[in-house]
Amino acid sequence: MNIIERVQRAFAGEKPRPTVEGMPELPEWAAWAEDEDGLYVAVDPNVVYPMWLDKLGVGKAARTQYWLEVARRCFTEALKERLAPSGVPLERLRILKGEAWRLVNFPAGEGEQAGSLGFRTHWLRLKREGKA
Amino acid sequence: MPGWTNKGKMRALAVWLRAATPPTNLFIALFTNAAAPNPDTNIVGDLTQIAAGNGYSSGGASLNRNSTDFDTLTEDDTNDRGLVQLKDIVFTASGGPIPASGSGARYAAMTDDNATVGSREIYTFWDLSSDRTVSDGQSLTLQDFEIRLTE
Repeated sequence: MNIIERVQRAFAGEKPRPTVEGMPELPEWAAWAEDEDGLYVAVDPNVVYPMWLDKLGVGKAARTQYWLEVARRCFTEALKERLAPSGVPLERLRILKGEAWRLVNFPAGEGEQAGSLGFRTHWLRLKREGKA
Repeated sequence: MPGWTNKGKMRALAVWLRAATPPTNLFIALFTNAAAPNPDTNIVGDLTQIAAGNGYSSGGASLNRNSTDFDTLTEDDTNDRGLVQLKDIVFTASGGPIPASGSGARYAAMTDDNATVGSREIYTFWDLSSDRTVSDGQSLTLQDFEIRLTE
């Protein structure tokens, strides 16, 4: 099930769209969606977490709350940078339901707060490596 | 550990549910390691602000309550929380280091805009993980700081 189908299933009646006239194109792992407050970007945790953990070089056995937060901050940053050249800010992001990716399912590692605050070091590494 | 003060939680609920008047502006102030902010911290005077001067004004940097200064809202259905990112806050040292004297910046906190800086209420806080100082011409940037609401 791709991100568009996931959004359709999660928000019956709402209209996810891979492209929206006048809005920049999103990466294939994200979709525009719309509700009463307007357009937002939706991502499927079952897609984005494994993808970005893989980019970060974090194997299954090494997944921790720290790395999940680094991954979340990295895919958020990737979206912001994707939209920025068009002058469109990432005003709203929705991470869909994905029980398997709840932080509580993982050991703390260095901790989620450290991951959130320290993600930029990893983000810059991904950029140097051409992965972001 | 970053987080909300209980004062901040109360104010947020009052603004949302009782239509209390929010501050016109919010501020991000920097504090030394003399006292760590925690959920029970109330006002700036409970902590020790870094020395003012050279690009850091007492009370810190002003924020507007809009989508420019609070630029990305996230609705996280996976972890049942809401998050907002702040724009990058930049303090550029000019004419000397930041802080101008004394200990470096270990904590940052978001406050209201009370005219008396020491009486400003502290709403949220962040640990910068070590004492931060920047020399003349360098910048101290608080980049993409987040505030989160978790049940």
